[in-house]
Amino acid sequence: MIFGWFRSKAARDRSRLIKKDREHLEARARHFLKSFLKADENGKAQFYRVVEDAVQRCQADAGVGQPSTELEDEQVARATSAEAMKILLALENNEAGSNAAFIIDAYATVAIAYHRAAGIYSEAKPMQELGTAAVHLLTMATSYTRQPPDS
Amino acid sequence: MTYTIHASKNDQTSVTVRINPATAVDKARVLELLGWQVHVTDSSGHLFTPLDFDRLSSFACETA
Repeated sequence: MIFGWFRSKAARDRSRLIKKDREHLEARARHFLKSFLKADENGKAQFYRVVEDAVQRCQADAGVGQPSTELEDEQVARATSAEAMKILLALENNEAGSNAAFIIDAYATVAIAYHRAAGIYSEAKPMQELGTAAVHLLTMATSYTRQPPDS
Repeated sequence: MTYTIHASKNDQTSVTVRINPATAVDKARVLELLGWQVHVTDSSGHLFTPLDFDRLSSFACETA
């Protein structure tokens, strides 16, 4: 019975997060990913840089940037996503400049990728698929930014 | 064909087996995102680093 209560609490928690993500993140992340697919090679490099910067900032602000054996992967992923959401909401309230929407969309994509990594979307197929695409972009961004400049 | 995802982080290691290359790549990418050093091997002995994951994913399309 107690196990059932914990399981239903976890399911309610995931449902609440999915609802919030659909409201604040889904449209922005879809737009960002579609724009990425349409971009040429130079354009794609901008996407890689902006998401990599967003990940670095989220992890630093959330205090999960350094390798740690104390935090489980799910905790790191949830904390990174929560920080991305926090930054996104703050940026939305101060949206200014032609580049603002692009940067906010990048944070939405980061937030979704890390919730996908945390397993939040396992019961929500469209969000799971969106999250998988977001994870793919973030890992490509990592590979891109870590390669030697002239390779 | 099976695909084995090898991951390591902070002196921990993890080995996971998948039968679908696309599923193996998804799992590997999630681990990579979470800071694990990842590579995938197939049952023929080929090794795929993250830079090769697109090539591995394309196997899924060819064999689907």
